[in-house]
Amino acid sequence: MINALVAIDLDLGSSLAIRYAESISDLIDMTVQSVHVVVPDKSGPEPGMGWVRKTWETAMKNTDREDIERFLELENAVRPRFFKPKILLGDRQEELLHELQAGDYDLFIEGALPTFNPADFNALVNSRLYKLMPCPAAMIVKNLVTPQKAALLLDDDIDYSPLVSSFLSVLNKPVMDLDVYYCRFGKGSDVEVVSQAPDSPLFAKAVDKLKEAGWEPKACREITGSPKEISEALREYSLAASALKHSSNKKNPMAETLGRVLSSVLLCWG
Amino acid sequence: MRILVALNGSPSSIHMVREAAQLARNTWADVTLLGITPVDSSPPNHNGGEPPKGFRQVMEGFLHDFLEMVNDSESPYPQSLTEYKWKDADKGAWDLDCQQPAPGKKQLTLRMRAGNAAKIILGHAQVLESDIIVIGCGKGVGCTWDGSLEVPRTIVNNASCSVFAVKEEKQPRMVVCCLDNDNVSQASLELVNQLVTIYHAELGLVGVTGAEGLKEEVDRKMGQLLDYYAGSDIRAWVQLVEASSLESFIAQAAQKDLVALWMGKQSFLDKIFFRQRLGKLIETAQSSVLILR
Amino acid sequence: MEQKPLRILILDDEPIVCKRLQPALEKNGYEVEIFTSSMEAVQRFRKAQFDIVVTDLKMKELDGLQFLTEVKDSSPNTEVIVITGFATMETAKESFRKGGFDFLSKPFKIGEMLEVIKRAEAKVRQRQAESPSREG
Repeated sequence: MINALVAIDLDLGSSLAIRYAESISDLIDMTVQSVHVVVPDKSGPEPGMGWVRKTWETAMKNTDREDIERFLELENAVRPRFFKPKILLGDRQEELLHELQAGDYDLFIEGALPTFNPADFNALVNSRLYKLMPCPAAMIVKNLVTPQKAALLLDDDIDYSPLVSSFLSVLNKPVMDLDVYYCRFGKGSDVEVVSQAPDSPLFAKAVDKLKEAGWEPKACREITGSPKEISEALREYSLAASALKHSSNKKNPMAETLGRVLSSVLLCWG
Repeated sequence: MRILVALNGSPSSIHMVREAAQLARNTWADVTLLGITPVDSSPPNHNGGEPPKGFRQVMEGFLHDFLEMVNDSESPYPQSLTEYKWKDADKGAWDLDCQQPAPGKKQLTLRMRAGNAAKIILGHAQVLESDIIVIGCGKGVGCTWDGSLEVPRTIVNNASCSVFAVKEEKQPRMVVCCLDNDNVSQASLELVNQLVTIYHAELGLVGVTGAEGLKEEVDRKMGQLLDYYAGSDIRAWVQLVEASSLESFIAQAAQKDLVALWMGKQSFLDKIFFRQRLGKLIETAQSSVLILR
Repeated sequence: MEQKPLRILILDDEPIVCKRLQPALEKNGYEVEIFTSSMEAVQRFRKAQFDIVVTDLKMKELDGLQFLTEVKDSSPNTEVIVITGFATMETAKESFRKGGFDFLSKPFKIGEMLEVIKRAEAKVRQRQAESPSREG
């Protein structure tokens, strides 16, 4: 059973995230814990300590709790295997990190609408929350798309074995079509797709591991182009999965590609 | 639906006649082809009250081409030019009209006018209660009417209905609609539905963000739009673009997609940004732009 | 002699369309009933006589072409105006093959709809004048 934590606010991104959680929980055995972090208004005074603070915190949480519960009801997310939302108070990243550590989750899900500027995605995946995320994978829901077809993206900077393990720890059975791509990033003007797997034992091993878990990739391809072109070429997919290193701070072409795709992204830590 | 196709008599405008014909062929809209010639090329009392010969030939050619493009035994439009008759009109105004259409038949009229193009087009759109004005622009960078930027700019800024500034014929893979406010008319939603259906295109809903990010009401409206289109089985993608990057976004999107801008009454784009820069935006876009109202 | 007002049934699963059309048509002297569910419209049509039907095409339950067929089968003299937000050449043609009076693509202005309704009314009135006993 996969345990997922879905971070929600009262916005479109969260609406997409919760709907995506609903649709994949129907496909895989997954429990969903939603969490909302109330961020205290920095401009207002905060009570110091003791019961005054406790009362203030409870009041803050209760106000948001009603809104969040109504939101989840509207989104049809009151269902078995969806636990009552947790309402936390404090810094969003710190509270989410704390919850992820305490709850032993397999997957973190949040909505983040895609932006024209790939730097926004880069900032997200380089945030403290993502850098220190203890669970093996994060699903960044960018759009409302039925999970039907996924692309698993590999490149030379990725250690295939942990990527495939993380991928399989979340999508533990073949619930959608899967194509595997070996990405060769360059600055060429045209994207080139070769309809055959690259001649690489590591690539073959990754595919074998997927096959062992029941995933039979429909296609294994090599794709060459800039992140922008490659992301354009991946428009037909409802999910793009790949790996990023926790330790990497620099902008890398895979992060840019994942930032540019309009589909949801399954981020596995390599 | 009523379509007003504004033409300047240049033979190169054939691409917009084709685009309008594609729209009409599917929607069975009432169509007015409105040709405008500058006053100075229309000498008073020329040829006993007839339009300048060259202008007339080109415009009749457009009407003929349009009929060819919608020609079909079940077409709601007249079958050929022989069904048309010149109607008495005022000085500087010539109408080539068909008989009153039978039930199920649609109007396809040719009107020729001499005078101030922007004023004539906006006036006709109002009187005819047009749902969309199709106006031609030069292909590629620039959007001119007889060499002037002023006419398309005035139409786009002042029309109360949607305006389709056509630069070239194309089959967009996506209709990308940009939104910066929650004032979205039902008519504009319906127009987007039609275009997505006609082009078999996907739909992009692009929220324009300001310094404070995406406005709450725009976030909410995008959610409603997403649900609306999902309910209509239209695959819609959402995306955010900063207002300061909008021009480069449009320039990029317009290469393969049809860009549409929601310019409702509360649009800050309309009030602040675009009043000064909308014309420029359309000029710099390499491809057609649709202004939704 | 004052003519009996014509009865119009409007069916569109988008409430905003019905709400926009109803007052405008009533102001012009028509008796109007609106429906956002095609099944409810069918049930109502089976019970009551309507002179003109305005129906959307794309609907979740019974679609507009099926409703058009149902209407023409049970009441051939009822004139049906088909409206749609998702027009294709084929759907337009099909509407006529099935006996539709006119086909209007959205968006349309009230004035455009009124013109079509008036043409449909003329046809209905003419038929009533030609065979008053049958039409009642």
